[in-house]
Amino acid sequence: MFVPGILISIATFPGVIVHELAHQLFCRLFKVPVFDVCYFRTENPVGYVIHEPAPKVYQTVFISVGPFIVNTLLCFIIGFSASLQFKFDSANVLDYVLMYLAISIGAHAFPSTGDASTLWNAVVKSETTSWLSKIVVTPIVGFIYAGALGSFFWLDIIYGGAVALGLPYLIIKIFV
Amino acid sequence: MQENYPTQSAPESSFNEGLCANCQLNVYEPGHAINLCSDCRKSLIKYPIPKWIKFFALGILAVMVISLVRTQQYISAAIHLGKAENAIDQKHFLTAQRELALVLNKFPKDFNANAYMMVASAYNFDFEAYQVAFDKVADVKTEDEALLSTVNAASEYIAQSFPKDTLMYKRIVAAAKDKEKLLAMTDSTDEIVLKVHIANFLYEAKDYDHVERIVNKVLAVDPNFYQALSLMTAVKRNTAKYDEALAFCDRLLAFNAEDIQVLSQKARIELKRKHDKEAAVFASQALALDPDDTSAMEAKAMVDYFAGRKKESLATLAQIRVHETNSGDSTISKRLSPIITGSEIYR
Repeated sequence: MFVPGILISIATFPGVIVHELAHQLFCRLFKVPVFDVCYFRTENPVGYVIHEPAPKVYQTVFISVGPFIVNTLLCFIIGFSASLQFKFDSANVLDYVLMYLAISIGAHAFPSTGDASTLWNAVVKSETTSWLSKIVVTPIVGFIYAGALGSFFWLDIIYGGAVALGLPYLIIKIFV
Repeated sequence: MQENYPTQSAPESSFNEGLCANCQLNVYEPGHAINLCSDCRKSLIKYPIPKWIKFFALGILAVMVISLVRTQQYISAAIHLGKAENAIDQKHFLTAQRELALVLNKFPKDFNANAYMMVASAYNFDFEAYQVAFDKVADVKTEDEALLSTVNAASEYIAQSFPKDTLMYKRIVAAAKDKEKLLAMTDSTDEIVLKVHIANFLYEAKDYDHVERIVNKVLAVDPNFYQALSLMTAVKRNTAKYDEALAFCDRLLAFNAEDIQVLSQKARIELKRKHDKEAAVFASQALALDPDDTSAMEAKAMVDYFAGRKKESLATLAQIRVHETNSGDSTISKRLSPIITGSEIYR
């Protein structure tokens, strides 16, 4: 079923907020000035962070893929507190709210094509970055574009569901 | 989404490139992509996070804490369920059944736990636990094909114990002590479970040749037929083919690595060929799995007896008799008593 991305973004707006917040937090971590942040709006792009280009390649990478780390972690932590209730068919309203939040946040873990484009321009197309950086960053950009393509097939929602619902029990099972 | 843009706070007409690009008041700090003064840089690095986002995060945190408090009991159940699933994967069905009992104490209707309980109890031949679990999931539909196939295989495994031709079964039981009648009935049934019943009665009569012939025919039809393999371990033990007996035991342990009866049988085989140390190992393995299991206790009593600890072996026999009073089955004490009282020579 095709549902316009903007509608999915509206339905999963907490994920967009966390996504932009993750960019902002990584900027703060690397002491990169931020000029503007839009946490959510109902047009494309649904959120953005405008910042100074990071001085180091690894900082650019982390700022770009920050949402993947932060959203996935939050999705797992929030999902963990509710997923077992679903596993044992005992979920209540609170658990449904948490699971909605977790999946919404997980669904926006993948960096956007805008993030990929920033990364591409700042590292791969730049004349000052090393070949090693370009070799490392190129597959990351490819991965981001593949994720964006996968969102046509609900990959983002599936990813959120897997991290929030499936991963907690899988981890318990592996470590028992 | 993130973008790298220069700031456009100051109007372009009066824009002074020698000053901070943000405030246009101070001299900028050199060495950065965008010319910002020290104050602007510091404040923009700490670009404020709106209060509503902080409250939103606090709200999520509060709901999470409430849910995590509730989650504790679910974590414990999930750990037991995980252990049970791992035990089933390793064919440690006794451990699996114990872990599942803990899950079902908290969530008696849980579909997965009941389905796995059917599997574990089937391989442990625990008919009562199997029936209880079956009743809870019989009407539930599932799309988990892998689980369904595991449950079906286990159900077939436990069902092999039941004869379909009950009339023939009654005739066999009636002829239990008549060897000629039993032998005559062997070919009048195609049901392998009934053939094994006949072989069991012939085993009681110590007609090991015929038992082996019948059991071999059964194993030709179904090489994994539990009762036939089990009977073969006893026949091979009593005909002094110890290695073959142990090999049959291993075939049985491949279905259920925690089959106490088979581990006890291994102890009895090793004792029979005077490998007392090996026997002691198998007996303690069986006892460790369930100290109250009468076949494990039998193996321990025999190990004690042949190690010269006659007092301990008689004490174990007394314990077995107490257990048998509850179960109503005195098979084990009847076969153990003559051995440890010295009226039957076991080896």
